[in-house]
Amino acid sequence: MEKALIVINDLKENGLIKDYAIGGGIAVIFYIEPILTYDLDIFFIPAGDSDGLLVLSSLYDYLKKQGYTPEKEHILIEGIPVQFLPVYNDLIEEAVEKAGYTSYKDTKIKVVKAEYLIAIMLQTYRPKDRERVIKFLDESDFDTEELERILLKFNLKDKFEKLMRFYNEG
Amino acid sequence: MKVNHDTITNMETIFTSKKKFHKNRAKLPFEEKIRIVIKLQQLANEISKRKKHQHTTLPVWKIG
Repeated sequence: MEKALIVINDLKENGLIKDYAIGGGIAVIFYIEPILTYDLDIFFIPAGDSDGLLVLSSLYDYLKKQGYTPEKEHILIEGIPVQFLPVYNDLIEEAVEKAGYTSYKDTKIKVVKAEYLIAIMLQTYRPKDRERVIKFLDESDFDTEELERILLKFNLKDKFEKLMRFYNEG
Repeated sequence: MKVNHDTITNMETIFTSKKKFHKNRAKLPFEEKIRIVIKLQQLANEISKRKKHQHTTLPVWKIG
C-alpha cells in the first residue's frame, strides 16, 4: 500500500499531475469504520491546461514504462488496483484543492475531507453512497457549518434533507 | 405479541452498544483500518471461491 502511495506522490513531484487526493472507499474509511473495498480512487487535477483524458493516457504510458499493468478501468500499482479520475466537476476540483494532508506509515498523503466526501456521495447518490452518508452521520466527526456551506454552494441541500427525512422516518 | 418494558430497555441498550462499537471502530488508526480492509478482501475471496460455478478470484491487496 505504501509503495503504491509513493508512486502516486511521484506523479505530482514529476509534474505529470498538478494535484491529487484520495477519494472513494479508501477516503471513506479514513472517517468511518472499515468497509469492503477493492480499489484506490485517485481524483487528480491535470497539469497545465491539459485535457483530463489526454493526461490519463500519458499517465498510463508513464506507469506502464515503470512496469505497472492496466487492468480494465484500473492500473495495478504495487498490488493495488488504482483508478485515476480527472476532476470532472467543480465540486470534485474543490474537494481536491481543499483535501487535507495526513500520512500512511512514513508517506505523506492527501485525502478528501469528510464534508466534501458527503457532498460527493450526495451528488452520485447510488445506494452505497446513501448508505455511507448515513454511516458518516453516525460515526464521523465533521464540521456541520462547512458541510452546510458546501451543500448550499453545490445545490445539494435538498438532496441531503430528503435523505435525512428518509433516515429519520426509517 | 406483548412486549414488556424490560425488553424495550434491553433492546435500547443493545442498539446503543452497537452504535458505540461502530463509532469506536471508526476511530481506529488508518493503518489498522487498511489491515481490516485486507482481511475483508481475503474473506470475500474465500467465500467467492466456495460458491458453486464461480471461478472469479477477487483481488486481495498486498500490504507494505
